[in-house]
Amino acid sequence: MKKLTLILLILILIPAALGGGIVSGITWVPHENPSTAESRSNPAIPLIHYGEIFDQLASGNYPEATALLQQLKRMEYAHLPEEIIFTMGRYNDLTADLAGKLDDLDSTLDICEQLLSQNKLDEASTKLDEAKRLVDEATKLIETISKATEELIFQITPFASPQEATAVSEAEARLRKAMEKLAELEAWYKDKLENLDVATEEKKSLLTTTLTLNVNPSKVWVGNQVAISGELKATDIPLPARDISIFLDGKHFATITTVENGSYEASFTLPYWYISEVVAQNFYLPQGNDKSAYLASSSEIKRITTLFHSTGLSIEIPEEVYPGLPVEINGKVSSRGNVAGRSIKALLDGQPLFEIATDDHGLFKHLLMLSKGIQTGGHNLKFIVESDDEAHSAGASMNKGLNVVKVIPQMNIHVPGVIFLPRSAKFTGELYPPFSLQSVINLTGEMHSPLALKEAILTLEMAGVSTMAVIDGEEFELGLNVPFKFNIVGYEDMEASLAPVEPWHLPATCKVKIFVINLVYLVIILAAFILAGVVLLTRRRGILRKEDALYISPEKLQTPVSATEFRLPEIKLVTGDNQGIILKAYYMAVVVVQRLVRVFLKPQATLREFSSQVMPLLDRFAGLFANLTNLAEKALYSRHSLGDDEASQAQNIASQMKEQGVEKTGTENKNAGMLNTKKQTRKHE
Amino acid sequence: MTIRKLSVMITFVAVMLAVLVWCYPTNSDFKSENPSWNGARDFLDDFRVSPLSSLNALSVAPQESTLLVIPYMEFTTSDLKILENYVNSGGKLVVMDDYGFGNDILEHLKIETRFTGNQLMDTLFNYENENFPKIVNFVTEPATSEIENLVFNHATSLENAPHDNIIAWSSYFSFLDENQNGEYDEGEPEGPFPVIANFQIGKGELVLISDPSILINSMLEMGDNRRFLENIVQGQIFLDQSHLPEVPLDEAKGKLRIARNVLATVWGTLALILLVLILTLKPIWNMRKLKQRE
Repeated sequence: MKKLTLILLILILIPAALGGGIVSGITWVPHENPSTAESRSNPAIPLIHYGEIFDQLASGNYPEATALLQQLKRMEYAHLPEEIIFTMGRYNDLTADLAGKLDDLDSTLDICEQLLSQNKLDEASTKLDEAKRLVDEATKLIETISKATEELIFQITPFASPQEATAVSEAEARLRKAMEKLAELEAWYKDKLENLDVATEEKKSLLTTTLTLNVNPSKVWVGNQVAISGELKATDIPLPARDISIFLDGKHFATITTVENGSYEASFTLPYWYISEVVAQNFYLPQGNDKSAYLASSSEIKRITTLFHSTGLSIEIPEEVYPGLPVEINGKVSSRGNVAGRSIKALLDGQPLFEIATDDHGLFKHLLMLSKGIQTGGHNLKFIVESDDEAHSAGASMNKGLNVVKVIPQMNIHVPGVIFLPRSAKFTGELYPPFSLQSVINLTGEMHSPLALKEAILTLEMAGVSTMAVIDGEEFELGLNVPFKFNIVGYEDMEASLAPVEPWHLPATCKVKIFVINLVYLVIILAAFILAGVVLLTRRRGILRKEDALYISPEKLQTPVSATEFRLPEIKLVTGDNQGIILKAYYMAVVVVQRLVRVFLKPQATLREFSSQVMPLLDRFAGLFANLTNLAEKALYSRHSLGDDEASQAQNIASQMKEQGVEKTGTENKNAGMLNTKKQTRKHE
Repeated sequence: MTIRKLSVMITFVAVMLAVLVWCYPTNSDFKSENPSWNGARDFLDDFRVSPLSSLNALSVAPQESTLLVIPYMEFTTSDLKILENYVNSGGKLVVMDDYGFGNDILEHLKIETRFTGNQLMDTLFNYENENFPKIVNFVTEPATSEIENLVFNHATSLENAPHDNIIAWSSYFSFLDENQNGEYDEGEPEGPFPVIANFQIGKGELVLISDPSILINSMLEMGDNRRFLENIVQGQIFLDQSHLPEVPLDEAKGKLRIARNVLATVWGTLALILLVLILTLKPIWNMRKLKQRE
């Protein structure tokens, strides 16, 4: 039995000790515990990626190389020593610098090339100088990076494990190859620069041209006429029939042609550009045969001050708005020009929302209703006032933050903290199936919202059952029919969920814990245990009653010993059987002794053992019982036959003990009775 | 050994095992009650998420709610219809998948984008090793507000995603391990790859994330994973638990739950009480019979 218990306990404890692995099986989801993930930082990886960046640089893909580098800068080097982290940081900066320089050089040379093609020699020369400076800087950087690369390889290589050595070598080789390509690129740029230098020198032999520009008036209302004039000359020789490009604010506006004396004159309407000034500049770009004769020229810059009425806009809108609820937007357009009938467009997050016109006083009002599905949170509301060109009134715009919010209704529910079930049963006259004990839990509550709240759906849920009701007022009362399936006692969660129908409301939930006592179960269980207790008690009392029977009463001492009290061997006497007489006398004395001292002769005990147990308790019977025990032992174990005198001695002892034993017990009982009477008397007093 | 003693021992062992199974926390991936590294209890507690044991339980109005689905089990047609209705009527559906059945949902929703199902590895931008790629390229929008990097765990990537819908990319140094040998081989696709995308469907929104592991307990605090999840969820949040793989422990717990529910009924409780009474009073009954025989 013990072995089986041990085996079973081991069977239980092994799965527990294995952390449930056996019970739950192995999961197949491919992810791993990050806290136990193996750290693998291959030192070759940064080298490989630097190689890739230099490849991109050498191929002229500067934006891609810069993007790669930006990412590489965000790499964490926590696993590397401080000096390498510093070196890599500087290396990154150098590489980024080189990428920037090469990119600038590339675009500068392109511009230079374009300027030369337009015979813009001065500008081309400036750009050429800039390109030369960039080439010098790039050359120095490539040289520095080459040295830094060697240093980086030297520092990183010791961190490579033997397994990573090959990868590091390959990365080194790739990086060196990329550096060689960079050197080739540098040489290519130098070649290009030299070619451009030669082309510039050639262009210096062309004739320079001058272009003048006059603007009248210098201050003008938008939409009004502006006159411009000037002349084009090549070393004081007028150049007729040449195209002059007019640029306003850097944008090509018109082209006019010079007349015979090389002059030009034109008037145009100043665009409705509501800015404080417009910059005007004219350009002459040689075309056709002029390309091989003249250099390009540009006029001085002239600034035209523009006149118009500025427009102001003020908007009033609540800080928080609710989806589905109308909100009033008030605004005012102010201007010294026209304010009446000005068109205003409103955009929500860049999307058209509404359009409205101002009244005669420049005021406008709009009742805005945001869509029910709009996301809560911050939105951008932009108002644009269109310009009124006729009245020379500028436009205006304004951005307003719009915070769309939803309100969570406040809900309180009131239920008793402790509920006895079944709480109430409705008897409606309908037939109930047996044990269809329904329990109704009633609750009251109230809900509040600063906004209109009507016909919200209230769901009450408890122990897997739910009820639903439409609530129309602020206060409500609801009953939940719960089936009879709760535990005996314990906490149950009751959840009330309010689902408002209005889009400006969010659902609200309220949870309460209720201590539920299931009386039916409790009564059944109590009854069962009481029943069991009663039966067990009855059995216990039966045992006690048997024990009580061992107490001596004078009457009982006179009666033979019952089998249940003490089962002694029955001895049938035959004439002349002295041994039997002695043993019978002994057992008779044992009965008396047992009743006097309440120590029982156990079947496995020897007569000597029993004697030694009872002797100290027997007082005056001790000697008699010792003699009788000796005689009984002789009768049992001695080889000598026992005489009649010994048999009669034994009978006498037994008779004496029986008689005196009865007297003693009677006296004790009498004394006990007197004591009780005395106690009762005192109590009455 | 008497039959009586043996039956007592078996009952004892059965009860002990039942108690053990009942009390032992589940270690299933993404399970709401799993507190260990691969569970989602922290996410559920911190974000007040309601776990769904069935998509049919999605009874709440979809407006202002987010449903996160980790599709590791096949979807029934009715499940797919529920998802379609949910997103069409204004709910925000977040499909977080790597090697599961996410493409079934996309196919049903008639979205061309797919989860590639190949492991996304990044040799440079990673946490500890290439299996934990760091996502460092984001498009500026509310979902990526204040996000610097996300840490994925054995993730995959998206393909056929329209450029305007992509909101996060893996780094230039990432690659797809098509032959699953754990390292880059010539010809394997090189990054950057789209990893997160969002779509407007009907009145609702669909967000695709190519790694569901960002919400497990051990990954929630990695990088800006928590912040990102905060950004993408709205309103009431639900986490579908009905398409996660079941392990034997969960099955055993489920059966015990059924047994508990049966015992919680009137007849079940009465039967239990009766059994206890019989077992308690049987020795007395036996003794009485013995006495009568004597």
